[in-house]
Amino acid sequence: MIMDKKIVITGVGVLAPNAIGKDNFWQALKEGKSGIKPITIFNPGLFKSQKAGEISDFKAEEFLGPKGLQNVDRATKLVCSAAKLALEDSELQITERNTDSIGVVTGTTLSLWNVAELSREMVEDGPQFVTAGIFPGTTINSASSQISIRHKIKGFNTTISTGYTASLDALKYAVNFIKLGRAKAVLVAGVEGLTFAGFTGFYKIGFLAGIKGEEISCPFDKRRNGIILSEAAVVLVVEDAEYAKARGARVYAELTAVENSFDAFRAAKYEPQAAGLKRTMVKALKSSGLHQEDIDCVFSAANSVVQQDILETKAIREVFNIYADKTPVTAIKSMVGESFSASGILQLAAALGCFEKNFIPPTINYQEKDSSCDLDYVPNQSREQELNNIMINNFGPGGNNATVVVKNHGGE
Amino acid sequence: MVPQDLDKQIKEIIARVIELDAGEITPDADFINDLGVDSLKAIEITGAIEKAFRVVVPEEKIRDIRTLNQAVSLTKQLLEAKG
Repeated sequence: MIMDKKIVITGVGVLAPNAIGKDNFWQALKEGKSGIKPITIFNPGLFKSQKAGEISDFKAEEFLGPKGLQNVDRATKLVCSAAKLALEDSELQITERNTDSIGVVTGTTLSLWNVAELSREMVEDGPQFVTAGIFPGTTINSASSQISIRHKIKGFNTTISTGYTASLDALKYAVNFIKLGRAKAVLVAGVEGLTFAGFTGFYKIGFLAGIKGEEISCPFDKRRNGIILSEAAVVLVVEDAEYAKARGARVYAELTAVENSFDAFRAAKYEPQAAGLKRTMVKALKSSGLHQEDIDCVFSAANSVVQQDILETKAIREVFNIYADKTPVTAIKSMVGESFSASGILQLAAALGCFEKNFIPPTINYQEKDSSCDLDYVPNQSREQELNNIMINNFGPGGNNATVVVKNHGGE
Repeated sequence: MVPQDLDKQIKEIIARVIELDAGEITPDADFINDLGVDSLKAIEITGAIEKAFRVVVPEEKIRDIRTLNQAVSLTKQLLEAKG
């Protein structure tokens, strides 16, 4: 039975294109620092798109030690590093006593490196000479499993692969598990690592910025023409508030609503009225017990795709009604790009910092107004403001929608 | 053709796969009992040797490769059979 429990966030681990570590990440957001740069980890060849949100200075061995990293893909290295940071931050000790009541759930969708590598070896060397150690990493649950293995976490381990909303869907799964009394604390992760295979896929379906315009992530701006693909890894420690209190944990925020829905429309097409997104926003307001005017800021899913940014603008205008013009709407993807499965939880990690440091991050690269996008987008400069409640949206052409409402806990 | 430094080459392959210094791999140290190698890594050792020397270890012999000496001896046989 679902119980009426308060769910809180007590630990943050983040590796983003514009910073590694929560404090650096929050500072980068405040300064409007972009993490988008020419790609160095693979050669994009003659593609018109040459940039990505790459975490250029990431060295896995600095987080995970020098051993056990062979045949481990970048996403797994990133998310295991984020898990280490989150556990340290939360001061949650995994012991024989509590390990069965701690779970892991990871939102990730593109586990492509090992698949590509296995295929490459099969073609180049022949099936007989394929490296056996590559195979375990070809499965989508490999990254999540590695978190549990490395930290000896013996509760449930689940992977959610719903594309754009995967990490917020993972969050909902964690919240439900805690409310069902089946876990006390859950490491909720979101990760995607940049791979040439993933980059090529997004390029060939025409989704990347630079194909039909300037190669820039400029949500809501008239020049927008596609995403800048990026990588990110975030792990949040999410707990039953009573468990957190009993162990004396420092609390960042309370999750007052995590809602999701699916637009049963057409494959890879946006539902033209953003019906599902509006529905999740309304449900989230209702579950959180808040009114539109109580939301201090919306962290939008806007990712510089022409239709997506218009649809979210319309959805916010409709749901927030007379409060729409008074509600700041920011798009951190202007700084960190589109990290797909990781994007929702990356926005949530950003929101926690905004509670801590009292600011709204800017939508950078905002220069040319689009008449279809007419809200207060916090253009180019962060804004100092105390925040009590933040709404986070996540959606895409895959049909999934997710909305989270998070409440400032003032570090109590 | 059997390379003259076959022992050295195989030792280096094993060291790379199991992430130990080559010096720690003595000729008769058992991979699983003495060097802490798990069963997947043991298969990887065989796979890496197969790949490096382009030989195929028969399925029934894979479990016989438990030490450096055994690996060298079997690889030598396979290379000699190849001619």
